[in-house]
Amino acid sequence: MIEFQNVAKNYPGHTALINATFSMASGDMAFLTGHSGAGKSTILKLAMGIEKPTHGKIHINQQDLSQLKKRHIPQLRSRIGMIYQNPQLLENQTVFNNVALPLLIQGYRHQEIKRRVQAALDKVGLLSKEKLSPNSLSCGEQQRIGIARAVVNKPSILLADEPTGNLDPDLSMDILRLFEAFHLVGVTVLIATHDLPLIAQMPYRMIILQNGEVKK
Amino acid sequence: MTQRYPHFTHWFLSHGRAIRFAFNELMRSPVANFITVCVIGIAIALPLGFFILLENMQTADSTWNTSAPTISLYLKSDITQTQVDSLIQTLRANNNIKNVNYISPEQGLKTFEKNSPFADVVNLFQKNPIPGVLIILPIKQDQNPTSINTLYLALKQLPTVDIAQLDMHWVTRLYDVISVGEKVVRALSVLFCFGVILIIAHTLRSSLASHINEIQVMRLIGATRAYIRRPLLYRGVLYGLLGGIISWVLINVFVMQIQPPISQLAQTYHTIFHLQRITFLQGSLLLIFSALLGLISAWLIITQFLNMPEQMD
Repeated sequence: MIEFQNVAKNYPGHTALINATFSMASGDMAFLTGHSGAGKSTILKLAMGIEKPTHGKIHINQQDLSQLKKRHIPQLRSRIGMIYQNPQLLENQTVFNNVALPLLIQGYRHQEIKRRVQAALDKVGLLSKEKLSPNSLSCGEQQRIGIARAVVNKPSILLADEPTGNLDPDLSMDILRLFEAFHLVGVTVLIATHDLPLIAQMPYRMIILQNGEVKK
Repeated sequence: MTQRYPHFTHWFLSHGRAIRFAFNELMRSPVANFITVCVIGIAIALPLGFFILLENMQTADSTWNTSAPTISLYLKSDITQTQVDSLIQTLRANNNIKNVNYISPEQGLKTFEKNSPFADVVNLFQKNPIPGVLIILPIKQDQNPTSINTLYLALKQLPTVDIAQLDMHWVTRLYDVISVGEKVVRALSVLFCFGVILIIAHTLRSSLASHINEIQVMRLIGATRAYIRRPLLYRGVLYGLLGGIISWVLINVFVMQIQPPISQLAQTYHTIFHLQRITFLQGSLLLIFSALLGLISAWLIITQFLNMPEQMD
């Protein structure tokens, strides 16, 4: 569950969000769109606890983020899977180790890590590449490794920031289908993108940001 | 069986991983790290060397004190034996005096006749010219320049005392040298501790620059600050520890090198003097201390990195 109530965010010198209000029930899937600089990334940063709102309230899975202490932020993040435009993989580690990282941090047992990492890699279709370095993979494959890492911890929420930004249309559609598959098993999915022609092909809700507000 | 390790096991394993990671990082560029560790070792060795020298000077001081500083009181020639006895009793009652040794004019004359080439000269006198002498040994606590001088000034005032003599220049000098040395060592230690912290911090800082992305990713996927900090703290401790070991070795080699000339010098004074090396206890303290310096510098640096604003791309 994601809920933003009258959220404003000011940065020194400019205002990213003036009054953003929207909510997503558990298991929903939606696209967050708007022109560049409309505040899409700001919304994701606020949901992840990377930034704090200037005004307003944010609830993630019934948890009020304004009540969240700094030391509890890692806990919040371990329950959210986040996917970035640049997949943020560790280049000096194998694909397997990259995907295993969230589980390692959470103290999962060795056998459990192996089982889950392989399941996640299988899900994104890259099980055969587990021993390779991320550098030897294509952009689309790297993005899928990023997705595998985001879902390996079985989060209830998936957030994605321009996940198809570096990909050609065919690959982009593959990635969106992958997100859809997670939505179908009950994960809340919010994808920020400005690729309108792409998302027009899918029957999901659009949250449109305009001038720092959510367009009704 | 649960999916996760029990809390303690997880904590233990993550420490093990952090140590392994720190060690691997060190082995990744062995030459550069060896140089760093040597620089740290030398920086610690300088104040440590002074400290050991000082320790040795203090033991030298206490061995030479067997010929402790004494005050000689030359008595007036016209005093009676009764006066001498009562003076000795008064002095023995003094709490600051450990021992009073009386050399009568007759004993003094005998010693003089035996040891001096001018023994015949005494015969020219009609009366024994040698005065009675009291040799005063102050108690141990008072064998320092200030106390001994106070005692000397008090004894000098006694009406039956003709001349009081105190030869303590060497005591004063040794004490002065040691106290100056202590101050120098203290100042140097503080300075070089800062130096060590800066060296380690600088090394970690430049190597961390290439790990910024990693730290960023770890934070975004939910690693706690402690988890991210851990491998780096171990690396700092490792640098400190290795530097400490190098300084230990350096100082012991240094002491072994200067032992022969010191022994020769001591022999000319008919004494035997063994330089002390770093004891096991001192060495252990040294290693704990140097590891602590490493920990502090690593903490400073990683905290700085963790406080940087987070980026998403």
